[in-house]
Amino acid sequence: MIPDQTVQILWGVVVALFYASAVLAIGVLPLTMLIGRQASTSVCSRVGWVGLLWLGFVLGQGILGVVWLVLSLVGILYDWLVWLVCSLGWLLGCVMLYRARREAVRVIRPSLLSLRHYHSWYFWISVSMIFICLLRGTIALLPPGVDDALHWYLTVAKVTAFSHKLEFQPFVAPHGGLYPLQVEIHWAALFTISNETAVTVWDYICALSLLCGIGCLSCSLTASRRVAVLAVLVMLSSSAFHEMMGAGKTDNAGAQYGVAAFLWIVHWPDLRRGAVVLAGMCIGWALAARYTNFIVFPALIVFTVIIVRRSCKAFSTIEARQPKRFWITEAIVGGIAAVLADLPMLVKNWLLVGCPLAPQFGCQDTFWADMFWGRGIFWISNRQGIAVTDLLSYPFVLIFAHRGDMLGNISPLFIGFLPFLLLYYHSPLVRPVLIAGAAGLLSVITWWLLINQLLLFARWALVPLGLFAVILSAAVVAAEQDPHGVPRTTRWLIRSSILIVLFFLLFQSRAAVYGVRYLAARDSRAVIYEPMTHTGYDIAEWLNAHVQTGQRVALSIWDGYAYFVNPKILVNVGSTEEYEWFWKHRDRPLSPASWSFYSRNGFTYVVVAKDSINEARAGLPDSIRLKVVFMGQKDAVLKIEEWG
Amino acid sequence: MRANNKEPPRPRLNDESEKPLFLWRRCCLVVAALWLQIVVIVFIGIEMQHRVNTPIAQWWSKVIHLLLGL
Repeated sequence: MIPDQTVQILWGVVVALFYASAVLAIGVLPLTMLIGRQASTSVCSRVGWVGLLWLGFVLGQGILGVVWLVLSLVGILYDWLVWLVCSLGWLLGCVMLYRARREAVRVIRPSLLSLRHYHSWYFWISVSMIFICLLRGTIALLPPGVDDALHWYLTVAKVTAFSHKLEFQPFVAPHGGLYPLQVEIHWAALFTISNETAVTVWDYICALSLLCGIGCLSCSLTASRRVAVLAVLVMLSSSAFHEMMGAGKTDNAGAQYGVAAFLWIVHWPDLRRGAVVLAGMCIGWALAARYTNFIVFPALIVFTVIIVRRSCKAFSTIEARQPKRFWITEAIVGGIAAVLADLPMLVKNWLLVGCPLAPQFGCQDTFWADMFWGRGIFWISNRQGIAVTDLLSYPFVLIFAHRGDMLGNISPLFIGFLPFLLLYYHSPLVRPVLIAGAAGLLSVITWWLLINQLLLFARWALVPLGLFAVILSAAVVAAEQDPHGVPRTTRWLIRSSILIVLFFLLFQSRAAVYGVRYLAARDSRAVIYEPMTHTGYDIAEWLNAHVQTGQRVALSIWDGYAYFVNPKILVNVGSTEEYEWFWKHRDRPLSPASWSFYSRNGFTYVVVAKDSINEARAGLPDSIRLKVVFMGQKDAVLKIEEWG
Repeated sequence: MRANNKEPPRPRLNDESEKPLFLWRRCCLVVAALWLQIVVIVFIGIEMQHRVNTPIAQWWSKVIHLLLGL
């Protein structure tokens, strides 16, 4: 007899894979239509069929994200609609695969057969990375454990799926609905048709997709698979990346769009308007996935200018070159595409609160604008400078420092490979990717200039990190392939370092054991969450089991994770006006006025900290009686009873 | 070790390519590789110290502290 938990997890995995294949099909069809068959062949010749499929996958995510957003704003994100769209995508994929079956066999078969002849060092690095990714996939089966995901990202998606409608959701942050939701809206669709495992596995697939994108970008710029392999390793060995694979954070999935935009720009001179439109759309979606991705904009513009200049120089005569007006017109078209891709997210905010750029800009007189933690981090708000020494030590801090909110470091290979770049920057292999390094540097400088307070969030800079990974890897491959020969000591030191990193990654993936235990139903969710007392899992479980339909629970002073609470309860925990009242009375949440408010507004339960129970009783009006109905590890549930 | 047959062949520039690297460049390459090795080992030592508390991690952490102390 297969345990119910195992069935649920396997069902989630199947749905995630089904969903991913539907997204792929939905993306590949418009891709081939937009750039044409000949251009598709051109892309294939430069990045292979994997690159073309990857670009289709990212495009599919962008398109479906907009579809789900529109459906959720209208309030019809029903499971049957999601199933219908996915099934259509899947059918489309089957038809396309059937029509291209001969070509697929012709392309895939030699690739597979040629694997028999691969015995190079880089081949074994690839095999090791695939194994590590599989272990990470097992970890992705576990329930999410990252605080931000449980506090906000997953909660927004879960509640949207429950109510079939995207709303302001004052109980999340309280501006959950105002986030750029290009990534979370896919999770909402998956919650609608399946469960949490489908979401985490999908997030894991998006992380793999980001790795694939970095590999494709490397191949496009250097025509070397070795560079691609090393670039992927550099990214994979960053804990800010690998620990977020399937963790329910939006960063990995959001960075795919940024990398795709750079890849489209690389192909712009060959593919013309189709490529620049798609690049624009991708950068628009990158912003719609995370507003902090704006740091990539200046870098993308500079990258584009250099690619165009390089393309113009490739023609020997002026007549053969395209005039400046042509490039400017196309760039404007790309810019319009970017705005159009980002527009749905701004329209969403305008519909919800009337301010497209809230909570950062606009609606600043509202109570929830004051609650936005990131309000003061931008240079535009605080005008704080940054010391040069801090700036220079940043790479070391991002690699070696440990702070809870960092959620991972960057790979030591970033500064480990740096000397090779200084020695081989003039190499024919490295020279074409110098623009990637320059773009990465410009992104980071934009970050430093515009986002102050020295935020150590490497996850915000995944796209620039990917660009750095490409150039650094090219330098190491150039060193290994130096036609003058490299000292044997150097070669073995490089390889042993990479080997150590691979072993370390293997060690870091040891939680795969828990993934298998969870899959086999040896561990339950309670086993995972109950030791984490700050999550409030016990309180949420009690509420889910005991709160009846129509009863209301006041959670405004509870700091547990709303994700654990049944969405049926969450949608009744408070309106925007009620949360405004809570916010204004946050200094005295257990005063007589608060209890009168709870009673007047029909709240049955209030969750308070265990050590506040006496304070709660002391401030009670005569007309209300409190009963402790559940004592958790950290908090308690009080029942409000009218007296007399 | 056999070369990866999918890679483009190494560029054969001219007779200059047959000449060995200058001594200073060889030294630079060895130093660069040593730097890479040190960075990786120190990183793993610190990670072990912060994230896990197994006997191996403690032993590794002591090695790193010793190296850093030297």
